[in-house]
Amino acid sequence: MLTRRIIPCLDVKDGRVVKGVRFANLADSGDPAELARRYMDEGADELVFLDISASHEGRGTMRTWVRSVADELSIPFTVGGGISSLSQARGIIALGADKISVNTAAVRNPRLIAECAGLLGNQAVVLAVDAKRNDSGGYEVFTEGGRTPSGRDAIEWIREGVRLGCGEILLTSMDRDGTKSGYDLECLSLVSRSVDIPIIASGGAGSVRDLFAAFEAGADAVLAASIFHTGTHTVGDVKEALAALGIPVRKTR
Amino acid sequence: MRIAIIDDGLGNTGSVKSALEFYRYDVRLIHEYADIDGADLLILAGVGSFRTAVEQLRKRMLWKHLDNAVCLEHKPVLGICLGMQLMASWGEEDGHTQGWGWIPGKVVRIPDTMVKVPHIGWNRVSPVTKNDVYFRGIRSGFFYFMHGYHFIPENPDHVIATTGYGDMTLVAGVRNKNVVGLQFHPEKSQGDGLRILRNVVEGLVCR
Repeated sequence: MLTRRIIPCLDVKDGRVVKGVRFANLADSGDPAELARRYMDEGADELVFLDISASHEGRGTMRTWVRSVADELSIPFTVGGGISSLSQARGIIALGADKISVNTAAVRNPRLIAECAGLLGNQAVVLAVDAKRNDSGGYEVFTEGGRTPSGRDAIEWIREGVRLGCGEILLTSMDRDGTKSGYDLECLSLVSRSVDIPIIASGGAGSVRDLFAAFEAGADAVLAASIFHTGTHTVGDVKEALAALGIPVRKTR
Repeated sequence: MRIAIIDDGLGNTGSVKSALEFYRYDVRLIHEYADIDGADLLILAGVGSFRTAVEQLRKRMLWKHLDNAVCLEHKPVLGICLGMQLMASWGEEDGHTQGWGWIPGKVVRIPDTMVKVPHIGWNRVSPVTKNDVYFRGIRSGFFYFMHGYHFIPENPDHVIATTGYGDMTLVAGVRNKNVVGLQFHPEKSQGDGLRILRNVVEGLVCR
């Protein structure tokens, strides 16, 4: 039986992991490879890295840290943030990442999804969608890290992404992101009923109950940042609690 | 022991190399057919679609040479994920494309009526034969899959391992004499992945 995945997410800026990091005895608390290793040892099923560098120079550090992470990990990882061309996507996969995620650039140029899927396979292409609830009861896609409304309906966009060949959806609720008040279950279940590819829920995780609810609403994997980074929970504890609630997880201890 | 990984310039060849180096094998990424000769074991890894991979290997003149090495010289070969699928007679991804046919059978889309496709994540793998040497020392039995197409061999005896997905049983491993294929990614499956990789390598070379 396929298990449900727990995916810690790390934001990387100028080659350094940003946002609170709880591990004790780290030689270098901002080193992506060292943190990746810790999460893997704790039982993470895979990892997502989002490069949030604002500058060209900052993003230029990707070559170095993606390779170090690949050398360190024996679980899969995804790299996203600012990927806007096929050659960039290809470069990141060649450095050892297993998947790339595209967001803003795909909204601007949907063909990017088809190009990446054609060269790298559907399984390597994650479509990241930042969705925000609108007044008419639907969800709108935002781009540029959630700053810019695109005018596109999230469900329609996700369906188009699937047609173009993405292999997974990373669905972030803009309304819930950073609130720790739980995932947007309504949105999650809507998307889950609309497409037949795996969905990674993101935005709003504050407790094990929230992760459980996301799986119940149709998520195949859950992404979480703060609950792991701040030390509220370890990945291992979360998996044990979910297993006790009847969710199939891969146990590593 | 010398291991040659056929480098497609893409994908997981680097991870496979590091995983094997963990066991101190002499591993090389090779780009040309001349480099095949000195190797005790060949590994086909890589990502992309069935058709693109076949076209690339043909363009680089590797297709026929690998076929000769495996069929005429009986060189041991391990295929991982797409590498395993290319061992089939044909695949339907991006249009009907002929494979090597080392393990007769077809590679077709996983039907998505009951399950999500691609099949992505950690799934439990069961060996067909109890006490299969490839599975010696395996603890959790979970391995990482990411594929939208699956291999259906003509001869069920070529299936060495399976995994359950929805109400389907997917082929997770195949073997025909000197040819072994794994659908999952041992190089991305933590401790158990490393163990099975070593078992397969030792098993193939010391046959």
